[in-house]
Parts: sequence; structure tokens; C-alpha cells
Amino acid sequence: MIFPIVLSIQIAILATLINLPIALIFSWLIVKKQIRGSAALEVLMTIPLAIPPTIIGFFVLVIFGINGPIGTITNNLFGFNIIFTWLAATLVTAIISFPLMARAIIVSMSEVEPSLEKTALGLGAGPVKVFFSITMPLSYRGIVAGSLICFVRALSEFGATIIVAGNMPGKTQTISLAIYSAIQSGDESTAFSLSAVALGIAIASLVVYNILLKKDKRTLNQNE
Amino acid sequence: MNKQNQPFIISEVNFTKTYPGFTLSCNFKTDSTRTAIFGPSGSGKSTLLNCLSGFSNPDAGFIKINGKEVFSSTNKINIPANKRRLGHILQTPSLFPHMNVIQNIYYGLNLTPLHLRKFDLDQIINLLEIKNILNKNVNNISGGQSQRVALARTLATSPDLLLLDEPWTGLEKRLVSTIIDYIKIVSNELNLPLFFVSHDIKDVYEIANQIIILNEGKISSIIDPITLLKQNPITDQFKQPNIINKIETRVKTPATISNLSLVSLNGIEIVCSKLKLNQGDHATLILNSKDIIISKDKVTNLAVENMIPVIISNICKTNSKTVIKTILDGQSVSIDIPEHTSNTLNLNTGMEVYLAIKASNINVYPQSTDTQN
Repeated sequence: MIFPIVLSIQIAILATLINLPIALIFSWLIVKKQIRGSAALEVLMTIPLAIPPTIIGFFVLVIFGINGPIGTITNNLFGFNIIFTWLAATLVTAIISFPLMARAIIVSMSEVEPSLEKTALGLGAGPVKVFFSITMPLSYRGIVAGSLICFVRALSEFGATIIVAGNMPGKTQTISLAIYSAIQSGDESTAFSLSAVALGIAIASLVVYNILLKKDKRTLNQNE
Repeated sequence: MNKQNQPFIISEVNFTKTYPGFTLSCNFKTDSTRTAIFGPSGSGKSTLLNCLSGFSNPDAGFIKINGKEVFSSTNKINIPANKRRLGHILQTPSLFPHMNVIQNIYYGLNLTPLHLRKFDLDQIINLLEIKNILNKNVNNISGGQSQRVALARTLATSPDLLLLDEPWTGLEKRLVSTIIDYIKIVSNELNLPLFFVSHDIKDVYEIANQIIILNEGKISSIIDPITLLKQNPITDQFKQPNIINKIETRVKTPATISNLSLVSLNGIEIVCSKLKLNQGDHATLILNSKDIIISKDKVTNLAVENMIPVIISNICKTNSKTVIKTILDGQSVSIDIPEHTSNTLNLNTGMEVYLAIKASNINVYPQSTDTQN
């Protein structure tokens, strides 16, 4: 029973870590650089939220499968294919949870006053320094919220995972898949136990989020 | 602190910048220490400043600061804003809310290489009187203090030129004059040339020694304050909240040991800030009525350098205030005071009174040839 819990947490953490830099770069390009095609980019990155996870799983299977364009390359170069491994589960989980993180960061980044970044630039900071010293710290709430929502969503991923990683106990079976198997086999006590653990992790994540939010509010109140 | 005489920054600008429905076209060269960009709202003042600092790029043309091209469409040069070494202060202080006062100041200082740090941070902090708020959170300081911190933060980077985009916007009148005083002190003490944007003629008279007048995106004239003052007679300024006085004098001592100067008016000596004029030169003093305190007696224990005797020639009462016209060696000096103060003092025409004026509140300009005649 421990393996699915550990694997789920491992996949959720990894998916969050993969998404974080990409979401920060996308948000920066859309909000701060306002690159041409920003609106299209925003729609594109929201798509995983709008379609069933099984479709994403199917596309990943087609692309990374043994006969897929990327699958063929990895197979020829490394003799390795990610399909039906926990890496494929991580990949689809990251894709599905990405929009939730990116949207939270976009909202908070757009609330950072452009005059602050302009001032930092005028004081001699390059664009990278401005991003890390001004934009990112001031988007902190959105980044934390986005990361935790991404983590929680990644924990509960089921549809796409079962398509690309299968449901192999001790290999690719996550909490959601283990609960599914337990229900299928009539093992209600395992299903209850795993559900309780999943619920506990989700609640703990949200409590952490609320604590950070309250701490942030307290700091703001002290400053006023 | 850099006390040595720096060469004045020569700015040469010839560019166009077009937005939908508006084109800014600028062509000027200046070696002035304090240049005002004056004009109505929407005339392109802030755009000009943004192009100088690198926050906006002109469509075509060039910008040279001290002989160095920072932008040239022909030579494909465009030095980014963070490498131009121009301190641009925006209308809002834009203090970083996640840092306290000293962290804000150190932000720019830490980005400045050691060999480029010309100004002493302690002196900047003392000049701007922010020592007691250094550890405060930026959300806990007043609007005036915020502007002084923003100024200190920019000065800490030792810019070659200061660009001020009306940083006193939104501040109450009392604070505006305080900020302007600080800017004058900083510019004098650090020998730092500046460009500032204003749509208020009073600010221009108080700070500038050259004025670029912008109108609908074009420079209509480049003029010195004295000439502008002649075109905009003092009598008209009675309609304005403060009156600008102009007094013709001669320099007696260009610089005393305390970095002050003495000008003379037929035996009456007036102490003012350090001058770049020679002994015997004609000089025009510009005095804002708000900076003058009127007293019936000669007060000796007051922290002002000047206590000048004058005769009241006229008292003019308006709805809210009283304008006292006085004569100083044949020249008119007007002071506006609240009506209740006028009643308390019981002032009359022909009475001798004293004008208390701080040296730092007197702006001195070389007298133009036609004024001398």
C-alpha cells in the first residue's frame, strides 16, 4: 500500500518542479513581454484544462509510443521508451496540471506594477535580475498557490496515467490507480485507506497554502 | 563626496517617435545643469524623458549624452536603459514594497560597480534627511519621505544625469516645495546635472536654468528663465498661488568658505547659494513669495541667512490672501500672506518691515545682456 502513495507524491512533486520554470517563463512572456501571439499562447496552454485527460494520454501515447515520432528517436538513440513507465505518468500529469499553475502565476504577475520593474531597470538591473528580484518575489502568492494547486491536481490524476503508464502494481500504480484496482477487486478497506491518505495529503497541501496566505496577509497588515 | 567640478553633461538630441495620432520630434543641444522640459499635458514631455533614459526607443534619429551615442538608428546603437547610467525618477516613487528603505537604497548601489560610485551614501542620506527612517518599511513612510527615498535610491547609483518626471505629482503643495528644495540641494551639492519635466511654470522658475518648451510634440523654444519671465510678466502671476519675484543684483563674493555667495544691492547684501559667476557680474535673483517670511522686527535668532529691510509700497487684499508689495532698493518684491496673518500684523503702506529668506531658497541666474541695459 505504501508504493502507490510514494509514487504519487514523487510524480506530483516532479510534475510541479517541471511545470514551475515553464509556467514562469510562459507567464513572463505573456504578461511582461507581451510577445506577439500572447493571446494564442494563453489559449494553447489552457487546452489541457478543457479536454478530457484521456485525450492527452492518447496523444502522448501516439507521440512517445514505440512507433511515435519521439518514441522512435528515444528507442533508436537510447534503446528506451518512456511509455508504461512512471516517467510517462509524470509527463502526462505535468501536462494536465500545467494550466492551473500557469493561470495562477499569470494573474499574480499581472498585478506587479510595471513601474517597479521599469525603476529597477533604470537602477541598472538587467531583465533577468529584474525578474528574480522584483517580478518573482512580488508574484510570490500566485507562484505558491499555483504550485500547490498543481501538486494537488497531479496527485489525483487518473485517466491519462492509466493510458500511458498502465496500472502495474509496484511499477506504475499511483494512488488513484490503486484505489481503482481495489474497488474493482472488492477490497474496500484498501480503497478507504488509500482514499483517506489522498484526502489527507490534499488537505495538508491546502492548509499549507492557507497558512502561507495568512502569513502574507499578516505581513501586509503590519506594513499598512 | 564629489566636490570637484565635473564637466557639464552635454546632451544632443535629434529624433522622432511616433505613436498613433502623435509624433514627438526633438532636436536640441544643451549643456545646461538644470534643464526643464515644460509644456502642457500630452505635449510629449514624458516621452522625451523615456527616450533619453532608454525606456522607449525613438523611431529614427540619435541621442548623445556627453558625446556618447546612447541611441542611433543610423549606427544601429541602442544602449539598454540599465546601462545608460541615467537616474530616471518616475512620477510615483515606485519603492519596492518587499524591501525596507535601506534595502531599496542598496538595490541600486549594489548594482553599481565600485569604480563608478561617485557619491557618498552617507552624505546622500544626510542631505535628504532620511537617516531616521532607514529601517522602516516603505509602506510606513509618508509620501514626501517616499519621494526622498526614491531620490536617494537613484543617487546611490551615481548617475551621470538625473531625469525627473514630475516626481512631486500627487503630493500636497507643502511637500512639493520641500521636494523641490531637496532636488536643488542635491543637484548643487553633488554637482549633478538634471532634466526635469514640469507643466507648472513655478517649478520651472525654481529649478531650471534652461527651459525646453514642448507643444504638441514639437519644441517651440529653448529659453532661459529670465527671458521666459519677461515674456510672462510678474504682474500676471498675481493670479497664481505663488508670486515669482525677480531682483537684479551684482555679485560681491562668488563663494564664501561656507559655500555660500554674497550679492550686493547698493549696500544691501544678500546671501545665496554657491554661484558660478565672478565678482562684479550682474545676477538676477528669482524668489518665490512662499519662501519669504515677513517680519515687523529684525529677528536675530532665526535660522535664516537673510533679514532684508524693505518698505511696504502697496497692500492688495484678495478673497483668501493679502499681497504685500514692498520696495527693495527701487525694485518690487511681493509676498502673499494669509488674510488673518495680515490682520494680526497690522501692516500699513510706508511701514519698514524685514524679509526673512533662506539662502537655499534664492535662485541666482546670470543676467542677460538685454536685461542689463
